[in-house]
Amino acid sequence: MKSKFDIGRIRIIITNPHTAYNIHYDYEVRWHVVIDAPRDSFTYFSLNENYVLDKDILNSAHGFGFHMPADGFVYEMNAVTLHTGVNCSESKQKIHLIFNALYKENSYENN
Amino acid sequence: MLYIKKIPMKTTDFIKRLDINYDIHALNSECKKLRNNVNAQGPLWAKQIALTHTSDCPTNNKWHQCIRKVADKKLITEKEITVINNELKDNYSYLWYVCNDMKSKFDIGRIRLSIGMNKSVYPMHRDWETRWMIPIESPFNSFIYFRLNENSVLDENILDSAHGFGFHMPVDGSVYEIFGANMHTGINCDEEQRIHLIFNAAYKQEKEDMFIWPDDRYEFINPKK
Repeated sequence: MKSKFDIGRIRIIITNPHTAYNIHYDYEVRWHVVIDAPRDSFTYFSLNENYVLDKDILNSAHGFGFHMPADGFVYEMNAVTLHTGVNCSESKQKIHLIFNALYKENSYENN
Repeated sequence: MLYIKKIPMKTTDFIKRLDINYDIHALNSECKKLRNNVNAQGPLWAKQIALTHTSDCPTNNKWHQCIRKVADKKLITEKEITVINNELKDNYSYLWYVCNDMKSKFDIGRIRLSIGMNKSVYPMHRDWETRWMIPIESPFNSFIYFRLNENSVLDENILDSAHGFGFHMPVDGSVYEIFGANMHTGINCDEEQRIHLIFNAAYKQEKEDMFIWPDDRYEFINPKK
């Protein structure tokens, strides 16, 4: 992975059953390799905060979840969007190997 | 060979804000008082206080009789748990009014105060009946989540690719109708508790009900015809 991308931190992150991480955003792209993905575990992106409930799901939803299966692929995540990790499983842990892009400090201010 | 034609989904297939509104400040204050006086029981992601019970319920079990899974236990049906705890009348008069008012509008079985602790997640499940919810405390990052796909497709269309989506219910005194027959869960990513007053429809509970789940979002068509 380091030969393919400019990578900083590499970590294994374990999310326990019945738990969710707090909603946050990161400052860099992240790549995930899924080690263990229980059926109802997903990464949730927060989308709207307008409390509209009209016909259109995209207008009304607070956010969307994407399940990443444990299939050996690398998933690139635009982590600058508000997001969180959720594990609804009764007993299995959600385990991801996460690679952070080595981002330029204060890049937002510089841009 | 049968193909599946997908019918577009809309928000009201999952959640509806009804034109019924209660005094959220009075509700909030009485629910706080109730939580101070009665212990909520259950796991961290779904501690509950029951507001209804069966007509033959022992006095010491009235606040907790209906929090177990009725369908699983098969001991009591939803239609039997319809008696509103009389203690509400004297000590929590607005809750008493709301419960009775909701019962005058809908055929209601269990009524519960459900408390989702911070950063906790309820297991994914489906219910067999419509549920009505009044959010009492609804932190910014809490939501009800409906599972949609399990195909692990990631194409350009979000609705095709997403595992599911969440709806936030604000604390506005409104009643939200939830179509719990869709796979769903309650998620609280926040530091604060998520507290909802939940009314279950008193549905006819028979063994056959457990198998009534044709996914009516799909229409089966035969391309040869």
